[in-house]
Amino acid sequence: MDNYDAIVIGSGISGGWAAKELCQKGLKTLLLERGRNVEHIKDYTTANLNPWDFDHRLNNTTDYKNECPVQSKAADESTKQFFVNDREHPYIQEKPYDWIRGYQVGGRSLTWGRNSFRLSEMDFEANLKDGTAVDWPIRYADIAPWYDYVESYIGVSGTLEGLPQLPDGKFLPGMELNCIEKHLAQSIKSNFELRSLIIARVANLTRGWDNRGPCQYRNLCVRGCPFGGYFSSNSSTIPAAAATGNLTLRPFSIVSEVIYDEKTNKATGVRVIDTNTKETIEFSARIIFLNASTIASASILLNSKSRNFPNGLGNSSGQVGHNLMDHHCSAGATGMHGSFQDQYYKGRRPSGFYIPRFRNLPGQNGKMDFIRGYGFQGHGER
Amino acid sequence: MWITILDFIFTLYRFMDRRKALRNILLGTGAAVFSVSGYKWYGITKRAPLPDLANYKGLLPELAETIIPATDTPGAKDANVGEFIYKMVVECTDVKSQNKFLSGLQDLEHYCHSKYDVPFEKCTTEQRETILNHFEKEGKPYPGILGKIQHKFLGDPFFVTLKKYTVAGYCSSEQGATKGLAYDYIPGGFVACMPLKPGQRSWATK
Repeated sequence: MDNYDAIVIGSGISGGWAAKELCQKGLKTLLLERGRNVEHIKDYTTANLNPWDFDHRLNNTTDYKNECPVQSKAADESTKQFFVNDREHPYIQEKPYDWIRGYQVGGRSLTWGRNSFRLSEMDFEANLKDGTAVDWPIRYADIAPWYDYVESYIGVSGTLEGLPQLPDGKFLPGMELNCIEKHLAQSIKSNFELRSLIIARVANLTRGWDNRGPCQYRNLCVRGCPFGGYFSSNSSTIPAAAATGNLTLRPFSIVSEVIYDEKTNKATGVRVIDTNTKETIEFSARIIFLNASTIASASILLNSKSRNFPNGLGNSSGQVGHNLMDHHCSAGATGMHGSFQDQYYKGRRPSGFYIPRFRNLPGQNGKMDFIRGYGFQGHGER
Repeated sequence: MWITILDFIFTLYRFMDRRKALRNILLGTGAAVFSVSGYKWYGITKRAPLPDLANYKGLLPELAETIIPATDTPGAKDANVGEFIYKMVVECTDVKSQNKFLSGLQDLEHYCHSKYDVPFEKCTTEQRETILNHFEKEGKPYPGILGKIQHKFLGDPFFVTLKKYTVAGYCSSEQGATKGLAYDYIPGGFVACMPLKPGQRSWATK
């Protein structure tokens, strides 16, 4: 059995980070990825194409929509290479759930929305305060230095606002709101207490950072950025991990289970199926870091059955694989405004604005018929 | 200027119920407003006779050029918009809109003959505009939410499809994007607000 100091399962946002940290600490690390390799810049095959270079000018064909009814909601002609084929990866939807997936090195760090907001003390305390489920075992103060650490490395642009519900961080200069957005921000401020509209905090670089960027304002991030203008595992953490000489990246490697040793009561390795050869291979390590995304990580645990864990590793509670909750993202509003006819902008800002939570804040009067709150994302254009 | 507010982040409890109620109201409205005979329903849901579209390969560029004529900037013909419409109707359009588009083309041919006694291609610019105005009025979708329901249940009217693909095809073509509009391949920076210069063209891409 091949032995490493550490095994990281999955090369998306958290897997790339885990690999970087472990490699930089001097550990020989095996990074497993179920899909193909995607090398920074070289494999961004559509990044420099013009709209007219695409057969359907970025529209999805009826055939593609039929074949990939879920992914086609997120992917277009220029980005579908970074999304799975739904026909090859079917799943049962008991309730509607758009499971957007990217099976390749970098995972969805290539195609993510790049909005990078901190949770606040209110979020950490919420279960305790409104009596839902169990109290979270950590508080904002425990995680804040790690937010600093990550933001300082990946580069997050944003503005300091001093909002208790949306803590500030270590930001690069924020992008600017355009004039209609500024107008909306101003009218929200003057008409409502405790409400604000701010520029989104995004992992797009407003200046050069870590030999990447800055953002060129093309707004084509999801194709992969040849300028490294935003954070992805491919542009940032995986190259850093590789630079240590401690990284072994193994694409086409799907983990079927984590191997558990009943004598030592520890996970000792992983069983991998090579998706090209269908061969089963085992790897061992002292550290096994499961970063295969929310659903796939749970599924690997459920698949890892042993005498001590007949219902899956770490699943003595029976709760693994339950209680999945999605972003709610279909409500909203649009409006047209007649002024600023003589104003325009230049460049395509790859981000929008954000209206932070303004419901059920401490010290706020008035009772809502729900607990906690929500935020809005949006943008203004002409 | 448009403002779009997209997502709720975090959970809004009890929202699903409200949403379901809203959807039911909309379904009810839809059923009441758009009563369609079985025969007509068959006409728009049957497999579209797409090979027939090849008969209109000469007509499509003329229709598009009437909507976006060449002036001091290139027109729809310069931008090969006819080919784009053809491709989009065949490969990227729902079957109801396909059927409506094909029957719309047929209607348009008949209309030209009965009104001017010549095919569209032989009509004067003024006649062409009159003809397309007629079809625009005839196929005008309902405004707002009703229009969305109409689109979903019945597909797009002929002229809506024609105009949509003409505009999209022109703006995303090399001629249209670089000469009709302003194409900024690599902006390099972002200026949030600047005065619009007289005659300044709209950016080709968002």
